[in-house]
Amino acid sequence: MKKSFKNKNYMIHKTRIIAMAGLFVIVLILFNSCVNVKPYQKMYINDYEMKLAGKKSDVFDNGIESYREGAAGATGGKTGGGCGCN
Amino acid sequence: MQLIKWSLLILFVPFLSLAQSYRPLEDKEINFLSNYYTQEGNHSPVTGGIGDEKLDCIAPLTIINIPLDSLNTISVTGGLDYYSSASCNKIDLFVGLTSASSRYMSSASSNDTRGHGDIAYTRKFTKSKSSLGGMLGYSQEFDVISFAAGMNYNKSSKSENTDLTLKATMYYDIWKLIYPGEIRGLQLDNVTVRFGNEDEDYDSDSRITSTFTASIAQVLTRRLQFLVTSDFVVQNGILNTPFHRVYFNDGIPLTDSTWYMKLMRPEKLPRHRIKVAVGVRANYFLSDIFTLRLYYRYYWDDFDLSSNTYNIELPIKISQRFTLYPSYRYYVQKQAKYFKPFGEHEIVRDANGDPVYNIPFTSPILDFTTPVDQYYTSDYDLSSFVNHKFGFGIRYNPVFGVAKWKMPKIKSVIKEQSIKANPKTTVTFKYIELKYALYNRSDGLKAHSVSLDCGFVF
Repeated sequence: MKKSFKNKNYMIHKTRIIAMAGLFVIVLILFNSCVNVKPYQKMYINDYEMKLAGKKSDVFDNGIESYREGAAGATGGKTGGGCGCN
Repeated sequence: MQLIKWSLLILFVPFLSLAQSYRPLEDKEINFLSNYYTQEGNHSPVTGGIGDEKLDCIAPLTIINIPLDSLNTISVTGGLDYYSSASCNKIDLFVGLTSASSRYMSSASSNDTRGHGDIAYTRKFTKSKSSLGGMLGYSQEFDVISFAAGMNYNKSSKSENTDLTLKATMYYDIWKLIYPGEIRGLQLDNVTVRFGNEDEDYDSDSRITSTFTASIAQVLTRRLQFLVTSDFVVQNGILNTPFHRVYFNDGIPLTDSTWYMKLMRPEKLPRHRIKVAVGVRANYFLSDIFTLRLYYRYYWDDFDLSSNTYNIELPIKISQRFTLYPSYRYYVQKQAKYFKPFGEHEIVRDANGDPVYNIPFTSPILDFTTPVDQYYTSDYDLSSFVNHKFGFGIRYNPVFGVAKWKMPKIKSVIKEQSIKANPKTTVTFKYIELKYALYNRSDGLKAHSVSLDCGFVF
């Protein structure tokens, strides 16, 4: 019973990962059909607060969160290694 | 009419040639950042999942961005983390009972400084709208030395509405094996635990972390843009912290008179780990005053640890100079399969449920009874919890900068002959930003973080 539950858990996570990867590919394809915004129409997109990259000061919060939580990655910050975790 | 057309063309041509050969250099930027972090909690992994987790850390950081010319940029980062830790002070929990002295005894490691730095180079290719870059890094603290190297590639579409980034980074860490004081000199897994006053008195182990990142950013509408990013991480080598303790369910209390009978093992984790994280970010320009920034991440690894992260930030431009940044982050984590709280990891028992004692044994602490599990940890960072983060920031960014100073003339490093050397003589204090964050973890850990960022251009 326990073994089958463990396998089921693993399969759920594996399915989620595959679903995420599939979503990534679909998004990649769909993005090609998005509205084509011209450079002179990007006054809002180019606003400082609209930057997709994190601010420089976010490096501290990303580090704290990767040390004090089990998860890391997909933030543009550290994903493991090069410690500092004491 | 023909004369007018030719006149206009003749007038326009010099500007065309100038546009092809002249690309204004970006400003050199320096950012001086610093952070103060303090935490309190009662689940220190150094004492087996119980005990004070008080920690204070001051971390100054400097980031310098230097465009060498219009295509080549170098970025240098350097910082220190100075921390004092109540839990690191307990590596030698029973001081006085361990005979030899060592500069790595608790009083030394309870305060430490980690130094780190990296240098990155980026080359732009204007025709293909792409760039290629590399990075080298180094970090050192009392028990870990780390080397890092990475490469990244970025490609934009013709319209610059779609952006693809690929990155590969590798960390090589060397860990000094500093075990809890009460087992130094004893046999652990048939190997004597070495210790002493010099670096070479300790055994070492290594860890390699390889990270592959793929991100795609897309402008969806005039006010909305979107980013999907994914990290795939593979780790090999030592993944546990040697001086983290794990206590077992042997029925023996942890007191000054019985500690040496209670089964204790250093934390033990597999030497291989795979991590996968997928994040989605969406920024929407609501109005001239409000911008909405949303972020979601799903994480999973083969320790069976999984988590969901939800973050919302609402920059508010209260004037041309001031912007406020209220934010909230909700993080929920499901524990790793190797985690159990203090004293709950099981030992081998007989049919009646009584502990099976190893007679004879090499040491009471390590060998009196036997753990059931091959891997075990009581580090609450790998447990199930919910973490709430409340953040607030303020940024002062006047159009012409906070302040300006005249500096002695410095000639720029300029290679393209069509551009005249135009040494900048003014240093501008561009902006200042202050951020505060409160972390409230459901297992009782509370933390405060204050960050300061001062940006200069010259």
